[in-house]
Amino acid sequence: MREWWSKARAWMKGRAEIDSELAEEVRSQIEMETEALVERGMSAEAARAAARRRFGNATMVAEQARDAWTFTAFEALLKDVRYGFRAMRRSPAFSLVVILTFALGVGVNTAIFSVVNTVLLKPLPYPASERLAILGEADAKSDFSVTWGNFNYWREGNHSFDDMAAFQLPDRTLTGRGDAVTVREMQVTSAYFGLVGLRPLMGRLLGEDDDRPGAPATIVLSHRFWSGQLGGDPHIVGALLTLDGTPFEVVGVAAPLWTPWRVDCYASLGRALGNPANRTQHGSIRALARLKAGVTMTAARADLDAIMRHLDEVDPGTEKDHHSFATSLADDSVGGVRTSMLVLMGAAGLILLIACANVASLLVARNTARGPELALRNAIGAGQFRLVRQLLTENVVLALAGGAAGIVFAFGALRALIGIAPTSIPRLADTKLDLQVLLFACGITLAAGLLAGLAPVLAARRIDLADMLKEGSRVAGAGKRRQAFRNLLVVGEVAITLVLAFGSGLLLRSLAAAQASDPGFNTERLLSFSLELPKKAYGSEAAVLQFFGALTNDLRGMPGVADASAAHCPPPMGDCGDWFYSVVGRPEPPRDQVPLSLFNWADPGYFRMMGIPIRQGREFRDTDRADGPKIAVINETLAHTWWPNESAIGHQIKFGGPYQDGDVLEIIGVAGDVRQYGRDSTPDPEIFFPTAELSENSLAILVRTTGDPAKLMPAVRARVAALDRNLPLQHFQTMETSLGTGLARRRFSTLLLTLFAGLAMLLAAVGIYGLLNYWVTSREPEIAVRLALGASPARILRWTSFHALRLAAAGTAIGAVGGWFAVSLLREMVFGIPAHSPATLVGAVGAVLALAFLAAAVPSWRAARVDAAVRLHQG
Amino acid sequence: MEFLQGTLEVLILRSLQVGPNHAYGIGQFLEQQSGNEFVVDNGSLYPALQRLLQRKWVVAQWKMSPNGRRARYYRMTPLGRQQLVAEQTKWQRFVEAMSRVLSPEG
Repeated sequence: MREWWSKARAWMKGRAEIDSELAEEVRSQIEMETEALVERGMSAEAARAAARRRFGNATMVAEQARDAWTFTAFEALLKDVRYGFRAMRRSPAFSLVVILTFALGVGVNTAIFSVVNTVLLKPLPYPASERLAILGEADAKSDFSVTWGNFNYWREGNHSFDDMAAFQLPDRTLTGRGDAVTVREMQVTSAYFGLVGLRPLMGRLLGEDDDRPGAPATIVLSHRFWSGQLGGDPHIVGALLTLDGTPFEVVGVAAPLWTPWRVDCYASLGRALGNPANRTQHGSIRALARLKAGVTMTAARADLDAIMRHLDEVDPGTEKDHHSFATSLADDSVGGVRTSMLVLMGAAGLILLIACANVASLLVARNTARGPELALRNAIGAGQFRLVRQLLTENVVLALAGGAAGIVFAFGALRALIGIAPTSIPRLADTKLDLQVLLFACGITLAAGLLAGLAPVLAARRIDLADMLKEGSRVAGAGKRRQAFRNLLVVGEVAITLVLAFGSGLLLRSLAAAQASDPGFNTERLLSFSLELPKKAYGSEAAVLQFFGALTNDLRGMPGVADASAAHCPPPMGDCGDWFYSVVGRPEPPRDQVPLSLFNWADPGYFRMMGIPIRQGREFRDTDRADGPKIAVINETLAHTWWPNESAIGHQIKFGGPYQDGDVLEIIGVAGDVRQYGRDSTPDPEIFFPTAELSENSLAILVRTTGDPAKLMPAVRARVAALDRNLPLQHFQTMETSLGTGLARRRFSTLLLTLFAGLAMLLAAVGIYGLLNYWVTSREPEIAVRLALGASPARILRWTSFHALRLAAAGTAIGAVGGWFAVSLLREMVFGIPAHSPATLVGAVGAVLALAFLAAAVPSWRAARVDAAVRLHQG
Repeated sequence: MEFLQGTLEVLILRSLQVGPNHAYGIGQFLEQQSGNEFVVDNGSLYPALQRLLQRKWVVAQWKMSPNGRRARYYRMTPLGRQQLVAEQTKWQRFVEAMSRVLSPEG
């Protein structure tokens, strides 16, 4: 350590001083010895010569002594780096190609990694976020909400959690501040704020006092809502906001914080729900809880399950067989995007591999050309190791230049990526090229530089340098081995390209299938929007039905409207509620095996208006009233499940299943399936009730127009405002738009993977072109001889293209096998076609072979045009 | 006779025990003391001195020699003295062990 420090100081002090001191010391010793010899009787001249002789090689002694002060390895590295830069300037075209290739590989990976890092890897911005869990209840089939009653038992009785908060996210209507708007309220128990570490920006957050039933009506605004919708009003604290007709006092504004949920304001759940009357009423409450340090999720669930079993003993009922459900908050919030993110990251990694292969291939070619130079350096004393190190350093310098360019590229790519990405990807907007990402970029740059640099260096080691010197630039035996190595690289990159082409082909076909899929209804000229009627103004079911009836009647009479109808949950709204059911007359399912179905309400004439075919029976009529017989229309999926070979009409289903209260319904019709979750979804069982029996305050209105639906939107909005100007129109869109939005993520990942496959193809084409070009050059004499012996240029053309195609064929064969296994990873992203689709694979193989053929065309053409006479005379 | 690896440094320290000396003087001292068995090669002596400087076991200073010539004098530091003592003990044991093994029995 001490030695190292002295060296470092000496290194900084500079070498000159040490050098001159040593030289003087050597001089002084020689003079002393000379004097000693003169004293013994030698002549001055003879003494000086003898002293010199005895001393030895003065220069070498000084040099060796000086070397004790230097960081030999480090200085050699610097020298190599300088040499690398010189080599770069000597062949700018070569360097440019290598740097661009690296830049592409590193840039793509850095951009994608920055997204993956932010979306998947970075811990959520909450205290001890890795211990945060989302809790609910579950039975054998699915997970669902926890009841307010059970939540309170869990919170008091558990031994596994530091803290626990319940929440739900109802939509509310804000009135009295300009146009009525829908706001997303997060009803929470006060522990929530501590769990996510939310702090007030102004005023206060909700506390335990607010959790009590009968507490004053207070809300806290989210930062986004306050600064956006309310214009950052500095005097908002203390103001009253009217939500669903009830005034709430704003007690504070929360500091900005990303949450997995879009929240406009926070209100007290305890105040809204009061004391739990029983523990069987399910709403949409989930719990957020922080595990105690060292407690596993499994142990915590066992703890809650024990509470559930105990509760069932003291308070038996429908909650029997419900147990706890828990998942980490991080998993819960990224759920849907994980697979596509990982697939994209993998694809980016493959591109980097191809880039490395291309660069390695180029380097092999260049090192071959540099053979004589290397041989000469070896001959004048550079060791093999020294040469290897120098070549490697040169390559790493190139890689670093490429990496720097790649980071610039990634910066642009990331901005483009955020621009085109669907906003539903969590935390994407926060993605930055931060330190972690830059470290990653440096890491992969170095790795790529070493990987691409090492292969040709290892090949260079085997060059018999002496042969090289003798032969000059003629490359014979050793060249063949290196050519074989480059062939291998091309085969590898073609294989990887095929995997990417196959994957992107699958996604492209899936996207096409999704876009072309029959949604099950007529999407043309269709508008839809939802209305939620505030309970305060529309207290009774009759008032709600009266309003919606009047509205649809009104809309039907509008010019430009062909028809209008209402349903609770039209496609593609997805899951607006599901519940147990059972079939009367069939064996009772065990408690934890009761089937679930989506449920929905539909107007008379809804199916006709939507263009949903009625397969059996009839749809609802105006005469189907709430006080009449209990009836239902079911969808085809449900009908096929129970009555595959007979009519479902007249059969009965029990809503709620055997263990819950509910009406027995007679099936009067079977409607065709619709893609309830969007174009790329598969239908779930669904039960429809007539809207006359609506028990909710919201309905969606569907309007079929005669002309361009978008043009009618202002008139429709005005018509709703004429009936009630305090109703915001939610999700007001044309059907084509909302179906298109549902495919945004699929379109995004398909676009990226296709882009990656395109890049891979480009790189592979460059690789094949470079290889063949070189092959032709090194074989010009052979080609000339063949031509001279009577081969036609067409034959030469066939010969060279065949060489390229043989490599491409080997690559595609390997890639096809690899791709066939790799696409299992894509399975959940594939829609409408089997993941193992031979047609797609054949298409990808065709595309890659065609590409190889094109890339080989120019060098082959050149080969066919070799002038035999000229070439042979050159000797 | 060549020096064993790593012994030259100890011998230099030993030579400086009698007082500061320059490189030439150190070489002379070692040759005389060993009964001209050791031949001090400057190619080893100079780097060894540099190493001793780096480890702060000796310090160097330009001074006038008795016959009026400028020479670089090396002086042992307290740290160097500690090192010498430690090395001497080690070598003593090593030499005894060597001769016990090598000398004929009895």
